[in-house]
Amino acid sequence: MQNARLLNETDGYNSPVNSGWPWLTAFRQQAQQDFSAQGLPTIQQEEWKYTSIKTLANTAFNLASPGAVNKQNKALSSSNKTSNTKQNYRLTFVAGRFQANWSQLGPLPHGIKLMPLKQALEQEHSLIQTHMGRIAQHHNHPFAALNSLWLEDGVLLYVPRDCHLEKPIHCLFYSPAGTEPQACYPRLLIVLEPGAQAQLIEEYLASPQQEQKDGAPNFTDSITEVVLAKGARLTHFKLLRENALGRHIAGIHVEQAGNSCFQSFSLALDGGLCRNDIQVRLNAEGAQVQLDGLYILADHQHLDNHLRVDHLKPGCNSEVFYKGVLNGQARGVFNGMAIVHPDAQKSDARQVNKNLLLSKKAEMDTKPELQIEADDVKCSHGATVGQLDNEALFYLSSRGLDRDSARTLLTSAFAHELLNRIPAGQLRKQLTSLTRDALARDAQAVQPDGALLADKKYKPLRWS
Amino acid sequence: MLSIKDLTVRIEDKLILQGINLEVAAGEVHAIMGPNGSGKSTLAQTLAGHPDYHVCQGQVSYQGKDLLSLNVEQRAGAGVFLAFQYPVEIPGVSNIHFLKSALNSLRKQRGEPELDAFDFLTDVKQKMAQMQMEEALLYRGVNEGFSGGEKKSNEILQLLVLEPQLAILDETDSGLDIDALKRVAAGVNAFRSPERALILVTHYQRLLEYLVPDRVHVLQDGRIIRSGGPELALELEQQGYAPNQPETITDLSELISNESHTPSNESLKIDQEVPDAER
Repeated sequence: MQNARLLNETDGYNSPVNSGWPWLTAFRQQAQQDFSAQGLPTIQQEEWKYTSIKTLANTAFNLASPGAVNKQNKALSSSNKTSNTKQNYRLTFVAGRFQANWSQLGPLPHGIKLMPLKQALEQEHSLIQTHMGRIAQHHNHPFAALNSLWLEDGVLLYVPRDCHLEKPIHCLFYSPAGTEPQACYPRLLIVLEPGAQAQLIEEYLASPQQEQKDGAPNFTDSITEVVLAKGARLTHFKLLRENALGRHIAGIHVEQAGNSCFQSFSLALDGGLCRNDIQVRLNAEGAQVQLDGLYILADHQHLDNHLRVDHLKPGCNSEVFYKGVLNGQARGVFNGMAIVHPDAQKSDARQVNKNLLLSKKAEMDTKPELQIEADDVKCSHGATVGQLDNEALFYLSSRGLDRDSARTLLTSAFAHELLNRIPAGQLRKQLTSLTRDALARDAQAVQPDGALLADKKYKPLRWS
Repeated sequence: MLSIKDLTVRIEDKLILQGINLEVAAGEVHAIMGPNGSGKSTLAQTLAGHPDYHVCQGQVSYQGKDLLSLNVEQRAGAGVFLAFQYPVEIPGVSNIHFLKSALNSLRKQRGEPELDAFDFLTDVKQKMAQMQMEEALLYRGVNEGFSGGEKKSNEILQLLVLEPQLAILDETDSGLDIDALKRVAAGVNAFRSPERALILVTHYQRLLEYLVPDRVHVLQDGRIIRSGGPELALELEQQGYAPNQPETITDLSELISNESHTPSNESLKIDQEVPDAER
């Protein structure tokens, strides 16, 4: 059985089930049952058809431990750039454990609760009991079950009625290099009461030195649950900057009440094997969701974006816009599913996925899907997979730009269409610059003989 | 400055240029005219180094260098500029960023330092004013949603900013109204100098009223069939490209008269033969 090792691991440790709080013990017992009932997914399952987790299943992971984190840690120091500590709230986790010395939790406006999950399990268990496991349901998400079984730390954000949190909350999850395979299970719970507003960034960062030969894989199984009450608004960023040894499986599960708004930007710039699931339930009239994503893949990276939006009530909007640039032997998967339920008249559901393949060995499987059970709806979906426009490359070269610069200019332009949808400001600037670095790195890795430029078999892509 | 000898070019398996010979000296303006499909644009694209055009034989020497041995960006670096017949739209790359990247790439190739951002912008804006272009076009995507006239003006703006030695204008006049044509011609005239040469590829004589050529060449079926002074352009305008029209008509009428006789004889013969064969 493919999933033997992970299962053995969960059988071998009984300690996480017995937590000290009866409700949490029961919660974990349920999670363990739900996980055992499903096992790990295989490529025989439609939802996992293009993403094999065999290598993950065959590795014996230990629960990650932060070890001794050097205060001069280069990666953590440089990642300060991503958020100015004077302006933003920050929660730093190393190997899944909260690090108070790298974090800043205040000062907070009255009534807002922002704390590491470990603390919340003690102090806010009624809030957690109400929502945790209700949004990300164990019985049909094995990795949610696994996360619930092992969860130890993470983030709780609670914003009371009509309270607007102006500064973004930066949650940094750092995976240090290790010699043994390590696993961590971050859990985030975000609850916004009616009319509340907040911005939250999840950044997953790994040290690049881990890519050395003797580095061991890191497994991150993260689950984020979001509850948006009437008129609440959350802007959520997810930034993936792990390394080739990273095994990242994440689920973001959202429940939206009437006229609430969830805006998500998912940027994947580096990693090994990654899977991002976003599932949104539009539970009442006028709810809006915008899911944007950009991925820059190279080498042997694998990224699977699985999105699902359920339109359950009338008059809701969903917009999905994902773009990707794939180089080397990278493989990308996009599956966007919008389900318009019988009740959901006047729904507006749109999905677009555009991809640029820079090498002949890169592969993209894209499948935008609509399932419509109502008759008065506006729905559209489309996907493109193409190469760089050779005429544009020639035009740029004829003005003196060398091939690498011309490529980077064109791929940046492709990416900017998405980056420009991020609200203007410091964060957009930084994400733009990180993206540009990732693209420049990829341009140099492209076949130096320029075979692609001369290859006319591929129809050039035109994006507008 | 430019010496083309016996240039033969194919695209895929189709032979387009079949032995072009052309000498262009610094300071000169040459017009290449000819009907559709005669190979005018192929010549322009080949000189700029488009990868789809394969040189089968011949040499092109530019300022003493073997032009054909240089790649596209090296040709630009050496001072060759092609104003495109159909300028490419590049959404997401702002015109100003593109101009700056291009100019700095050229300067880098020549071992010159990058241009100061302020000086660059001042220079570009002054040249835009000269072309009567809206400054807003600088901040739009390259040629993105530009009108036909704006695209052509943008090509000439690049010509003025990048300051090449040899400019090839591929049907820059097509699709322009008379005012736009005058603006474009004024821009090109501003570019002219004793050190620079121009090749104008065009269908019509109209442009040549504003940009008077030293030499006019007629391209047909991949060959230069006639060359002359500016008066040749006028003659072509009046008489069309077919050089020996009266003779052609005579030939054709002879052919028709032959056909009217011969086939009737043949069909008679066949009529007679068929029954023979049946017997």
